[in-house]
Amino acid sequence: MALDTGHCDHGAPLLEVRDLATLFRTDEGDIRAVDGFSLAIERGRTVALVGESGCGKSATALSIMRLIAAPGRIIKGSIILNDRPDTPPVDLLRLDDRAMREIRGSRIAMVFQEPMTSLNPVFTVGEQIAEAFELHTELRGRAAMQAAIEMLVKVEIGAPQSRAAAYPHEISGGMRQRVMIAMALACGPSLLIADEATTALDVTLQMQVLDLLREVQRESGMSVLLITHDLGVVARWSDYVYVMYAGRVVEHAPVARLFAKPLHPYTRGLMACAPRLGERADRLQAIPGSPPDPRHLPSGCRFHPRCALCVERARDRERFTAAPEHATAVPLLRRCVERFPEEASGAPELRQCDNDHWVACWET
Amino acid sequence: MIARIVRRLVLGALTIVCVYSVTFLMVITVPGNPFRQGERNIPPEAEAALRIRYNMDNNWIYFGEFLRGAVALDFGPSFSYSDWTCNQIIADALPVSIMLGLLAVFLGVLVGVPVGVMSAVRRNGWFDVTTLGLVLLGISVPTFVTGSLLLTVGGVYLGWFPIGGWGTLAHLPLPALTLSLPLMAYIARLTRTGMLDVLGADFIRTALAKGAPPRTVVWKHALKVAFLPVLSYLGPAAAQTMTGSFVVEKVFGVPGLGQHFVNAALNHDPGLIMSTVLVYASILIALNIVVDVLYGWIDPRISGAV
Repeated sequence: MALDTGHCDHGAPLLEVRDLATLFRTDEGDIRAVDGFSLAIERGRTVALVGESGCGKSATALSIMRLIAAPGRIIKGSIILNDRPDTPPVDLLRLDDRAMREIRGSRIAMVFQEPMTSLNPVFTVGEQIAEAFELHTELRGRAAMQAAIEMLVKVEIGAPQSRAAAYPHEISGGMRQRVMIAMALACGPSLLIADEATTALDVTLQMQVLDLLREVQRESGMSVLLITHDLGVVARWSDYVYVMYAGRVVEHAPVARLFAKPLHPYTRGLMACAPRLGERADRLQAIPGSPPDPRHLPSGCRFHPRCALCVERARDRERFTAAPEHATAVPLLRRCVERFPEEASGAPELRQCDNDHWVACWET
Repeated sequence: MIARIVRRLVLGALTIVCVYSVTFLMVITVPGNPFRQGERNIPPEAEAALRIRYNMDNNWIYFGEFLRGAVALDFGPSFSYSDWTCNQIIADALPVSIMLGLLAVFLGVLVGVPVGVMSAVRRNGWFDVTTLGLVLLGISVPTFVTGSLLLTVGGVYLGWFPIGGWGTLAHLPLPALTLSLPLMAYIARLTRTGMLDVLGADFIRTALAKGAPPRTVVWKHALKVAFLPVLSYLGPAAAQTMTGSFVVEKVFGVPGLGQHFVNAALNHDPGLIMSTVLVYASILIALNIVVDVLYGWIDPRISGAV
């Protein structure tokens, strides 16, 4: 690439989120939906973001799109998009609204979870796809509609001409999700955010939609941020996995590595939850308890009230009796439970424990 | 679609027959005598002759004959306005009321919808709070107060408009505005409620994710859905406004149809009572059918139903 003197450093990730924090102000207190979140997505790769409902996955996706609605607000961080060889990397959080709108739907597109309610009931699917072209390309009117029909062909919808004139209530759920995908892919995005894109579909449709997305990805070389709580989907499609809990990343690693050797107790818990074929399980495992109330996060490690490791070791009373003055001598467990005033954050920071495998836990 | 309209028309005709029957029943049971009102005191023989002349000696025949006339759009003579037929009275007054009413409905939508949209977009902001107060006023202050106020300011103080009467364009704005204030208020409130429902919908997020500017999202994606409750309200509201308002006609001296509803009843004028009621019922039913058709056109989800 001799001519490529320019801005696009091919080593740099396509999207890099650094230290993102998103806050929702409510009458009952602030909700830190995303709190010190960092992530990198390489070109052409699929990065999965997993975690239970309410851990901040969707808030992260909407933050990247800058679609956090009041009373929510992104309070800090940076989101660097570096997708085009001919344009310098931009920090999405520093763009004005107009510049952000030009990126939304054209360079970063999103597919949402609810195919039933995500399409406008009073416009035809053709009109809704054509609008993406009208917003971001020179195509207008009939030409935009023609392009929309071509997108319907691309997402393998039969009889695209007549489907384009149909209203969302006239087509099936799986087809609606294909329409959503057609709309998202219309302008050839560099990054597709799929927020539980297949969760609402039945298993056969799920597979079809996933195959379709992978096919498109192979053709276009776009990157995908796959948000899901379905580890099966993660294993099948993604290259790299971030595990999120209570607004923070607790572990990230390449997919094979993570499945082979999960380190964080939460990740292990998630994996234990997923039933495995060929393994007899009389009772499905579950992580005890539920994600913490984001207004009242636990002190210390946010996972400690549900942590198997923590509970197990808490039985060892002696660990608790150690005096806080001897910080180095204090058994690590104490840090899981209490916040030390001298530490910037009560929660454990990510540390590298192997090549490209990071975990935020003091105990493993 | 055609079949649906035909069905609605048949149902509408049945409704009108019911309305007519009830009105007729009330007219013949209410105490009073159309031939003995105030100064008019005719000899009993003459009254008997008149009753025979107008089929009023037998209620069954009267019921049938009036209905037959009404179907042919002939409502017969008015007994309180001598030398006038009910047709002439309605032909004189209805266009006035329709003109005023249309203007009022137009103003109501023109102001009410944008105000409702902006209130919803800037929910709980100063604009929304101010509007909510004004809406409350618009709904609760009666038209004889707003009408008199407008007349005092626009007619007397500023002298921009004639104090009363009818005949020139300058006579239109004050009564039209008076009629439209409550409409504006209701429409603003309905639009705001509808918009607040819609703005939280998933498809709004989809439109934003597509890169559509907020203006497009609000006025195109959201309003088309949020306008539906306003449309349902507009049918009956327009029918009522277009058949005149007794109060507004009194305040501004407008020769509309509203006064005849009241005067016909006060004067025991059976033909005029029944003809005005039938006109109102027909307009109401016709507008509801129009609203229905428009509704199906805006929202394809319901075009199969009903």
